[in-house]
Order: sequence, then C-alpha cells, then structure tokens
Amino acid sequence: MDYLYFPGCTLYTKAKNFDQTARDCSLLLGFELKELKNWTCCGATFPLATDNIMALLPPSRILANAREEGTALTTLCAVCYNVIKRTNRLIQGDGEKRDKINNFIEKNYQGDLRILHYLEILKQEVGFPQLKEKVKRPLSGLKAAAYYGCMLLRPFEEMGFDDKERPTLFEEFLRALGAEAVEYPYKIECCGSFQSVGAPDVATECAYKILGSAIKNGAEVMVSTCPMCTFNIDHKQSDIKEKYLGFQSVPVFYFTQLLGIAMGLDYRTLGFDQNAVDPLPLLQKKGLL
Amino acid sequence: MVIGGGIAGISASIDLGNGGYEVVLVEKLPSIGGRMLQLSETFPTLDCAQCTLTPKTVETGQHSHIKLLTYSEVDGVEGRAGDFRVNIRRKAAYVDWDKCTGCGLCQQKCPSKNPSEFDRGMGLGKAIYTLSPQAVPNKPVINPSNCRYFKEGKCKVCQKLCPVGAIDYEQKDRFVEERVGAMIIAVGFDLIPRETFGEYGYGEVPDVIDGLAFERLNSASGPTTGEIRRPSDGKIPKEVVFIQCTGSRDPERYMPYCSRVCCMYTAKHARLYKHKVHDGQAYIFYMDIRSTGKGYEEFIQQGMEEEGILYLRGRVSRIFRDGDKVMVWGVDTLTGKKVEVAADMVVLATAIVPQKESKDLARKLGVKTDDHGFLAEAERKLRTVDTNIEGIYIAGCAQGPKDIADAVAHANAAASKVQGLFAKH
Repeated sequence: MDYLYFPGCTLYTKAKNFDQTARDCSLLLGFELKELKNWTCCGATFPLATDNIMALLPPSRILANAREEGTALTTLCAVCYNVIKRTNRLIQGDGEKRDKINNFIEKNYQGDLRILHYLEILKQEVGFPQLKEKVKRPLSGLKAAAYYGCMLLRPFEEMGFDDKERPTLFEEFLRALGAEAVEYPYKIECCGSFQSVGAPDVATECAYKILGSAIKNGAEVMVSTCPMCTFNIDHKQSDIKEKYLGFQSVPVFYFTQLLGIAMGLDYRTLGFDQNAVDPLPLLQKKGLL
Repeated sequence: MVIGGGIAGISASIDLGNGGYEVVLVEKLPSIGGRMLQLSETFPTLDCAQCTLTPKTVETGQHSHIKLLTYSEVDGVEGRAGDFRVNIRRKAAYVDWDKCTGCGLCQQKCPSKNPSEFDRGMGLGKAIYTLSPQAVPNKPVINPSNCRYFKEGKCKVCQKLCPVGAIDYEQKDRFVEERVGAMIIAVGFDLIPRETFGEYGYGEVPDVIDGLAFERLNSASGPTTGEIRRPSDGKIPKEVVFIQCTGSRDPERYMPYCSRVCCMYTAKHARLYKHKVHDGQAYIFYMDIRSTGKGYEEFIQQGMEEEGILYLRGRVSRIFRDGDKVMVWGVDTLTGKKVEVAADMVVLATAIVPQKESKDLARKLGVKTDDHGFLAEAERKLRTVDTNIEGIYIAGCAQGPKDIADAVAHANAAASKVQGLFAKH
C-alpha cells in the first residue's frame, strides 16, 4: 500500500537526510511515499487556546487537500505529526469547529483520514518481525538510545501513539534492526524545543541531561524522530562541550538513517554530511559501513 | 450476620453479641483484624495498632454469642429481613482446624518461602501460614499456589511433623447455610495498586512503596522488625519523599474523591520515620491538608513545627530510578519553583478503593453500589448505614473511605440499627 506523505518544511532544508532515507527505505520495504501536492507549513504548534481557529487552518488545509488524494497520510517530523494528528482528531470530533474550519478554507473535510507516523507504518503495516526478516545488515552490538521527546506521545489521549510514561515502540523498532536498545529515564523528556532560540542555555541544559542520562546507561548513539529534537541534541553538542569540558560527543541519527544502514543502503546516500556529530568513525568501528 | 472481620465488622459483632444477639462473623482471610492489623501505629495518638486491636480480636474470638467463620465467603443469599438464608463457602484450609492446636510447628518447618501479601510483598511468608502470631483464630491455612506438595507432588513436611495429624491435603471447599435476621456488610477497602501509576514507575521502582507497605516496614511484627529499611538493598533511607493524593482527587485520570485518611497517615508516617531516623529528612508533597478530626490539626502542626518535616505544596510529575537513588520531580507551587529530590525511598499515599469482591457481593445481596463500586447508602446524610434492602446495613470503608474512629462509629451505628430492627419485630 502507498501512503500520502507530508514532508514538512524542515525535511526540505535542514533534515533532507531524514526525508531521503525515509523515501529510499520505503521502496525497499514495499511501499511508496506519495508526496502531497502543494503542501504548506503545518503551523508548527497546535494552538493552546481553544478558540484560536486561525492556527488550525494550515493543518486543516493540508488534511482537506490530502483527503482528495487518498485515505492515509504519513509524516516523519514529530512536530508535524503532532499538529496534524491533533487537528484531524479535532475536526473528527468537534462538529462546530469542523464547520467553522471548513467555511474558512472552503472545503468539506470530515476528519476521515488515517494519520500514521512512519514508525507506526513500520509496526502496524509492515510489522516488526517482517522488518527484521528484511534487514540485510543487522546493527548487532550497537547500543542505541531511542529518544522520543514530547511530541510523539503527548497529549496521550489525542496522540495514542504508545504508552505516555514508558513507551516501547521505538525500542522494538531498534531491536528489529538488530541493535541493542538502551533504557534511560530521560527518553521522554523535553529537548528544550524552541528555547534554543530565546533561551539557548535552557535548551543546552535539557540536551545535556538527556544525552548524559543515555550515555550513563551505555548508549553509543542517539536515535531521533524529530528535526527539532535533533537540532537540540545533535547540533548543540558543541555548546555542551564548551560548558561541560569532559563531555564526550555522541552521534545522533534519524531513525530512518539507521533503518537505511540495516536495509543495506550505501552510507553515502544516507546524508551523514548533515549530522552535526560525525557518525562515520563509530559506524566504521562497529563494522556497519 | 456480619460480613468482614476488620475493625468495623469486629466492632459491630461485639456490640450485637453484648446485646444478647447471636452473631455469625464471616471473614475471607484466615483470621480477623483486617487492615488495622497491618498498621504499625495509629493517628493522632501514635499508639500501637495491634495493642489496641488485639484485645478486640481476642474478645471476638472468645465471645459466647459470636460464631467465627473465617476463610469463608458469602456465596449466595435468599430471603428477606428477618429471614435471610445465606450460603457460605468455607474455603479449604487443607488443615483440620478441629484437630489443630495452633502450635505453629508446621509454619516453622515449612520449606517454601514466598513474598508475603500481608507484608505487601516485602517479607517472606510460608506456604502454610497464619496472618500474625496473635491470629484469631490461631489456625493456619495452606496456600496451594505456594505449597511444594501441591505444585510438585512431594514435600509433606507439615503433615509428617504435625503432632495431631491435622494436615489434610484432600480437603475441599465446603458449603454451610446460616439463617440470620439481618446482615451488616463491612468488607473494607483496598488500595489502588501502585502499578497503576506510569508517572511513578508502574510499581517497578523497588523503593517506591505504598502507605500500607510503610506501615509494615515500621511495624515490629513486619519484615524488618520495625526498622525503616528500604526494600531494594536494606539501607536506612536518609531522604524520604511522601506523596499525598496519589490517585485521589484526580477526576481526569484516577479517583475524583478524597481518600480522607492520607493527610493524616502521611503526617504520621513522616513523624514515625523521624522518630527512628533522626538525621533523615522527610518531604511531603500535598495538595491541601485535610485534618478535620479531633486532635488531627494539632498532630500535623506538631510534625511541621517540632519534627522538621518539609511540606511542599504541589504535585510530583515523575519518579524514576537513577543509580541507587529515586529521582523525584515535582513542583512547589508556593514558590513556583521546580523541585528535584534525589530520594532514597518514596511512599505513595495511594487512593482507597473498594475491595475487588465488593461489587460481586453487592450483586448477590441486591445492594446498590455507587459510581466507584463502594456500597451505596440509602441516603447520603440521614441514612448512611442503611442500604436499599431492608435488613442489610453497611459499616466502615465498604461505604466509602473512613479513618478508624469513623469506621468504628459507623459500625456502632449499624449494630444499633440491627438491634432496633429486631426490637421492633
């Protein structure tokens, strides 16, 4: 089955490696990501005020247009996934807001798209046991820390992605690839998000705690589902090093990059040039190139 | 008939027995005493729970008008006020209680040790056991799921050693019928399992325990003989965090109601902890402090002012294990600051919930239950011991959360209702 695909802005700029590896891997796994026509920014935050209809229009327009092209929509970035899934649920369940939104965007969308994160496709549609069979180069001996962040999981009632306090889906995925999934208490903590713009110290501190906790529990690499998180825990490692002199940097992957390695893709197609901490030395050491 | 042999059921039974009525007291566990028997000390007087309770259990056991049917459950009821016919399942104890002298040799020599439910999983209990050395009646039962003979077909140590030949592995459940004029349901409460709370580690952090477990830790008859030692490694905890309202007053996720006893028993726990670990620090996270009983507010104030207990007004959002510490993340809403405590042990004041069986029992008796499964009173203010069925009354925590004093008063009221009913006819 093919899925409509909403890449989101970052995947066209800072996270091209995320986008490309996801597309390449899907073909190897037997499905295709069909990019939506004329998509726009998702709005980047789900509005906190219940009457802020304006902020719901960009994701609503994306959803309404997508429905004209198909029935199942997937996305990669955890922030986009959060905004789109919650907007879809709102349109589904709240008739008054649905009418208001449809009037604004001049559509008649009823909220009947299935919204899936790429990881959910891998679990529900492909299946982790089947994925395991398709792995060509198991990531044996690689200790990987799955980092969920907030957006995949919260609010739990709306996202329904996995257990909000102790999710395991991401770890199951890593184990299917043959890696060893590291448990650590900070895997669902906030990365600092947009604080990295206004209060960079706050974000640095968040990242330091997350990385420190993972490393302490044996992690050799971090795995992310979100360009925002990746910025904070990968690109900000240089700031951490300035503040905490003994800090040893740790490579951060998009989960699709690890999937790409496991599926046997050439490492030169995995976009490692966009990773801030160069993962190649470690991969070489682990015999995964 | 009184169903449930906790402090409420015992109190009602003694009242009725002293009034000259014949009482059948049915208890599902092997002996009477209920939750109170698990407590170490009681608020606000800090006297020993067992010292207060044991005279009552003994009196019940020896009372000429009280017939004890322990290790028994109500299976079905027919009839109406003045003439109830109650079918009672007497569970197989695998011990002939008529022969047993209560010498305790079987328990001493039983080779099978398992986490004891009575000690909230912390201490080890034998497969043949009584709940306490002062059990009434002092007769053991065998738990077949822990017994080597039942599991592996060999052992029989207890049978070989028993001087009076009381062990009977072939015993089956028996049914007896009792005819009674009225019934009091006093089946008590349970605690919402700590496994419910994902934010507090789903019960998998060993040093995060519930209030009843702390009672056992602090109890001279408990698994540590009264020393405060944490479950994971037996160390004496120097920083202990107590969290009130765990699962209570949380309408969106857990129970909307107040469990009524947690403010007081948490203050009691913190004070008892300080009495034993002088250089320890106790933190209490609270939402409000509800200390409305006689002498209660004074008890709380004393803890704050004289014993250095640190009260933090706010909730705890997460608990996780970090090395040998238990990290506690919370907020102090009075200063607006985030609070992070690297604690050695955490005690959750988990919500009071109905006993699992109480709904089933209510159905058998035709008694209504409320939204949460507590037995429903006929009217909230004026008829709190009556039910919708004439001749059936409720007492204690079966109706809703109560402290000991209130539960006993409620039981006294139920007993006097029964006497009133009988006097009328």
